[in-house]
Amino acid sequence: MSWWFLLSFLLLLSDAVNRNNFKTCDQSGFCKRLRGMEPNKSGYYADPGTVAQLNSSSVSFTVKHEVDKYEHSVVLRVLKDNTVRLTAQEREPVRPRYSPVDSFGDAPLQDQSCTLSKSAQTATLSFSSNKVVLTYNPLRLDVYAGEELVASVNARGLFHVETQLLKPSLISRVGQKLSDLGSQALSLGSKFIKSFKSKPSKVGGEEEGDKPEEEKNEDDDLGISAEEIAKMDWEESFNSHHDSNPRGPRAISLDVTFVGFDKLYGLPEHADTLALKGTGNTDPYRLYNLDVFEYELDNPMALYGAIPYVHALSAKRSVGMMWLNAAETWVDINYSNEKSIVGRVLSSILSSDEVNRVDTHFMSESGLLDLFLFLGPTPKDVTKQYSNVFGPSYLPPMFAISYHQCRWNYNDQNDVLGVDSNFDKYDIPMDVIWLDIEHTNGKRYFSWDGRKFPDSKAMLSALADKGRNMVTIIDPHIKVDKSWDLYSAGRDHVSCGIYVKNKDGGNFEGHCWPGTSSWVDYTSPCARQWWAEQFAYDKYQGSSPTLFTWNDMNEPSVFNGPEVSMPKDNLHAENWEHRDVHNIYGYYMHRATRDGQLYRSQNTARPFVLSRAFFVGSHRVGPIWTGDNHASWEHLRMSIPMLLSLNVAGYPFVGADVGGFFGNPPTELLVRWYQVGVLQPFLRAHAHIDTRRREPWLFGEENTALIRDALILRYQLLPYIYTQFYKASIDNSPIMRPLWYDHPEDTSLYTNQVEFQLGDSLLSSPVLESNEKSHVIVLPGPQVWYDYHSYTKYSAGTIHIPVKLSSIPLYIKGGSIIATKMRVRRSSQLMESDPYTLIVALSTQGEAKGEAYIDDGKSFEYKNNKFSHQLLDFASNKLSCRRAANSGQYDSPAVERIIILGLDSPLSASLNGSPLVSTFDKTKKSVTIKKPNVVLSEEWSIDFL
Amino acid sequence: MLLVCIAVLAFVPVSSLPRGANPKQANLYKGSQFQCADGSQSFPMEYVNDDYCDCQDGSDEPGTSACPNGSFFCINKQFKGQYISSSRVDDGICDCCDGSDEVSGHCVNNCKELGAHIAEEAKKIRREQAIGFQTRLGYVADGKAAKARRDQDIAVFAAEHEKLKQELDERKAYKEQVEGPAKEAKEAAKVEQEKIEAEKKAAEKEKTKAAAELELGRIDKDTDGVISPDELLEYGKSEDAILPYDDVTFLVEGGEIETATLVDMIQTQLLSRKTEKERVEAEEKKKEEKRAKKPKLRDIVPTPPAPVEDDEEDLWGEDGKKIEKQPVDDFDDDFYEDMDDEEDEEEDDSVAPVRNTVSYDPETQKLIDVFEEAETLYNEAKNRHDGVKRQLDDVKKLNNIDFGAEEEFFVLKGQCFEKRDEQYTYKLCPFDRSDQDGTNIGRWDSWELGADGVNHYNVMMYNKGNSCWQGPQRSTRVEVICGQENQIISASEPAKCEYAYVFATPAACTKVQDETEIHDEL
Repeated sequence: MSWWFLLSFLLLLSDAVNRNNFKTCDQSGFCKRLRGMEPNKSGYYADPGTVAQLNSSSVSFTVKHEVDKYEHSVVLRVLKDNTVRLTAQEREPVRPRYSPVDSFGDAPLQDQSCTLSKSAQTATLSFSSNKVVLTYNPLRLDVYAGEELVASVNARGLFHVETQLLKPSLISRVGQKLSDLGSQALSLGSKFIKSFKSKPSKVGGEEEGDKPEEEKNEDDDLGISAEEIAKMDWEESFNSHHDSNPRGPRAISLDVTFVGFDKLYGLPEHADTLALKGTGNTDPYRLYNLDVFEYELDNPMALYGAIPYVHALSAKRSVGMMWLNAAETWVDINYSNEKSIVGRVLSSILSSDEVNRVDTHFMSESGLLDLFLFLGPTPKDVTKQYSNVFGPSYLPPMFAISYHQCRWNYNDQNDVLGVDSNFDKYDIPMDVIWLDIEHTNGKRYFSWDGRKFPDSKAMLSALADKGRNMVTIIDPHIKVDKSWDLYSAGRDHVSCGIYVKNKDGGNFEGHCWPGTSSWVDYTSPCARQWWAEQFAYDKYQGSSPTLFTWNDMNEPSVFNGPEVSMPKDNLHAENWEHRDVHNIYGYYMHRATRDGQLYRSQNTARPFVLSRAFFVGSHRVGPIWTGDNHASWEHLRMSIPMLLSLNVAGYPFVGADVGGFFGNPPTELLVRWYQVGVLQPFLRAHAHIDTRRREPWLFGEENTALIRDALILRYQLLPYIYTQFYKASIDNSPIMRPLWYDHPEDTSLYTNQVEFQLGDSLLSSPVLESNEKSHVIVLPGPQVWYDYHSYTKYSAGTIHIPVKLSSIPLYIKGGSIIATKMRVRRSSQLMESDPYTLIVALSTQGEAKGEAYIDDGKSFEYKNNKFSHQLLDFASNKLSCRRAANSGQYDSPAVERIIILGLDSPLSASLNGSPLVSTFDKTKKSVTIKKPNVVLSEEWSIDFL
Repeated sequence: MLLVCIAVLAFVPVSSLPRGANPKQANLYKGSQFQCADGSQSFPMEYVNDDYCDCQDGSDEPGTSACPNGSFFCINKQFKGQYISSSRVDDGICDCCDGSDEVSGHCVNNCKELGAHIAEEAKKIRREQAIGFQTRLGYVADGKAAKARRDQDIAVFAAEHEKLKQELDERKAYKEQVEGPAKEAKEAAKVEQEKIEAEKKAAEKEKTKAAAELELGRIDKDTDGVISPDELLEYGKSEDAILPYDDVTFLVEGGEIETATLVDMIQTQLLSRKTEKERVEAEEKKKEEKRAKKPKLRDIVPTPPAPVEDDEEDLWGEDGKKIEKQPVDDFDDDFYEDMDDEEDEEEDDSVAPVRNTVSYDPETQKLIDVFEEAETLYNEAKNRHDGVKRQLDDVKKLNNIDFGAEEEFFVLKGQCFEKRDEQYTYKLCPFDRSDQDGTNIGRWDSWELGADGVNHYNVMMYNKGNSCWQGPQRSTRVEVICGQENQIISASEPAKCEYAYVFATPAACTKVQDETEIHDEL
């Protein structure tokens, strides 16, 4: 009996996440209020008289309600490349609403002109061939791409802005339990706001806490009693945590229906399927950055980061939509092809009987209602439009896209150097060794445990000698230790508040790794500046130019806080509540750290900062990873839809811990994980402190060789992968992409989340099952594909191949040319001057195209045109290399080999009339040109006969 | 630019030994044609070191980085030749001590210094190895002798055990045979005894009746045949009154006093006084006997040495977890038997008075005596048998430990070695356990086999130490290397709760091949 008891106890322990730590929609006041709204009962209408053109690209109008008298002003703005922005807020708000403006890219938003025409029932905003039709009553916005309706806003009448009020002075609630109050408030919140008879008198200026001005709500003309106002969600509790919410309910809600679309993607970060699921029988997808211990798979619970962005897909068209809001957000999704659900509104518009439709309902706790619609029509167009607004991805240094070796923890300097030299002993390339929290002096970041790391600079320099770098962890919580200079400097900073404040205005203190800590308020530009300065070499003692940074726990994770995070009534710069800025906090930290690296190098060296939390805009700063995953096949499989969702939502530089963070991976799983990881954008192996060592050489010669082969493949592909990163830095194109991205017309690919493309020319179909012998691969049409290893040509379709533990199914798309380097060194830096091998994979038409981007891989000199962007083209028996129009000049190594795939007979090659040595491989149907004596960064052409 | 340099260099030395080639293979590079080492292909000698990989096996590019599977030979004059991977050639890092792997020429030739240093190191190591090996010879001798002793002990103990087992069986059978009659007789005697007791009690009561009537006379002071309350109270106050004063007042308050009641009460008092007296006497007697017995036991039982294991159990349990007591390893633990005996004796003592008070008829007594003698004989035989059995088991257990191909590690058994670093004190007791600041981080398990499946006696595993919080049981992997002294060279915790030692011992020293210079020094 006792063993049975023990066993069941252990099972309980291993049952991953403690769901009770995290809110359900029902436990989140505003989600319960807004999700409970009845469709088609909105009562909002646009006042036709107010519809007016603000300027050449914008139209504004006032939204009123049939019952209550609050007014909201709505602005529609048309942006470059068929993008529509919609903002709404109270016409005369009591307080401003938070807008995460730092999510926008560096380039200012560019307008597109539009024309406005009005009729009795509608107003039409036209731009290029598209239009937005505003129906006044009930309020609805129909967005047309050409003549086709693609999105309908408020078709279900779930638009709602909870009008901000001032907190009434306490009305008798003595003896009333908070929980009772809560449940009443839940049902009252939305109802009573709408039934107000009058709007509140306007209050000028910033309100500070419970001031006398509260009284103003109690004017008789509000038509609502003070008691009723008091019964709204002025505060709420969760577990033992109390949220004083002094500014009261102010949530926003909107429904958007995507008409004619089959699937919706995006909304990272969730450990869930690539195609978003209908949420009819579950909670909505939640976006609230949280440190979830041992997260569960296949559910809509919130994780470490948030990008409130969806991509709607059909064979004809793609549309993207950003709900730009940094507060807690929930999203309901419903797939349907029946007209009846939308009812009267849409059925009058839809011509055919059955149209696939995706209904969405976005709900946020506070902030500005700010919506961006990207009208496509192709997935690539949507990406470009996204990039116009939120900027492209950053161009990382070469080492950042190479292999990272991490563990919690490498114990000391000797351990680090031992691991380093074992990589050489076993001839495995590696670029970066990482140190987790144990390297610090008592979890004081920017410091070293002097006993374990007596001479970090010597260690860094020993690594740097082999072209290797190091990353140390730096978290946002600062140990409260008056004797520590950094803490005190933050506390005593004269010109700005460095730390986040509690609701009463004192420095907030909570628990994290170092014990009692305060959190830097990265939302403050002044605090970010201060933070950045901490990275100066004289401040961060023992650091060097080859030391980079990892920001963990920046959701922020607060061990003793509500949902393991910060109280929502904490205060940030400009008096914003934590509630308003929660989801953007991590982004600001990531960015401030990045700025620190720029600062220390005087803007000369490219930064590298890994973050766990993220928000819209983080992709411009550095990579993120999917947090604390588990050493299981399920987590390996889940890494693919998670990373694809991030890429679809505009975050190309992402990865998952190879091997799985928690637990000990069986050797087969570890090998397979490496084989998958080497083809994903960010490649880092990591392990929990309680796990056994798992460096690549610890599993016997055979497995060491398998891991080595996988990593060598990564390093061979670096020139190609780097080129993909360059492209992402231009237009934010995804690096790891779902098969449908380049093949949207093939609806059978829409739910494929086991395969992915690495850039535009490679397709990976990883082995994700233990002991698999026969592997099924879907190769999308119409092009042919070549096995990367054997050069075997396959037509599009489904193929079955036998697999061994050494198999890494990887295919080159017919019609593409990729640049590789076959000489793999100890680190990417040491490969810099090695020559290229070009692989020309001919299309069915016997043609191929490709690009290569080359620069120094570490500095910003590319901004001074020190880069070469080469366009490769094989057509009419000629392979040419031409400088792209935008290209500068950077001298690259030569091409040592050109391999042409898909030839049935030998070809002879010549360069400027001189013959080149070429060999034909009958079985591989390929021709190899030996040493063509051309340089990749120059212009040349090779003729074939 | 660099590449051009390589190409130029590569074509020049075709006539001489190509860069990166092993001089021993110079003949491969003579003539006009080069054949790949695997014989698969041949082509013009110009292809050698032309910075392009032509051979699948990488043999055509000994001096460039062109072949991923190629290797470069560092000649390293004044040191020793060495192959490095082609991936190390011309990557900017000096890998050969003669610098030949880098054409850029930025590498310094430090082969001479390195050679001297390595030679010095090697000499030191060989010296240590030689000294260690000498020590090892002694270890082997000791170990083998101990093994021989153990084998002999096993034979002796086994024979002895066989004999004692037989004796034990015989005595057991005899004991069981005589037990029945003794038991029956005892039972019968007990019944008889009880009958006598009852009779005795009745007689006793009769006797007290007379005494009570006598006492009655004392109370009836005026001898009027009637006892008045005053008389009774008067009597109760007298010191030698048999009836306690409380009883007297009770009677007086009750009203009329019946003579019969009074007699009965006096009788009861008298009887209980007698019983109490007997009890006290019996107890006194028992104590006296015990006092007389104890020193005798002490004389024959030597004071056991402090039980070492027990002391340390407390330390092992440092994690706050109750550790189950482990069976004692020491084979020489007969004193535990003696302690057991003592306990047995005490148990016997407790029943002795009963036995003593009962007297049997001679016939029964004889049967009992026969049984008791049989029992004593059986117990003696059992103690002898168990003692030898334990000794036999212990020796066998020790013999099951693999002390090395030549028993060279035996001497380490029973010793412990410590290593203190800045944070912890590590301790290794070979073939026993490993600990960190008193926490058990592994108990002797086995030698770890090499990758070839052979036991090279160079890695010891100590497993199943104290459990980590929410983690596995601690374990220690001990790499055993040759050293002049027995000592822990290094101790670390590469993964949580997995410890690694390097332990140097002469036992691991093999014979030095070239001993000339060592002998010179020795």
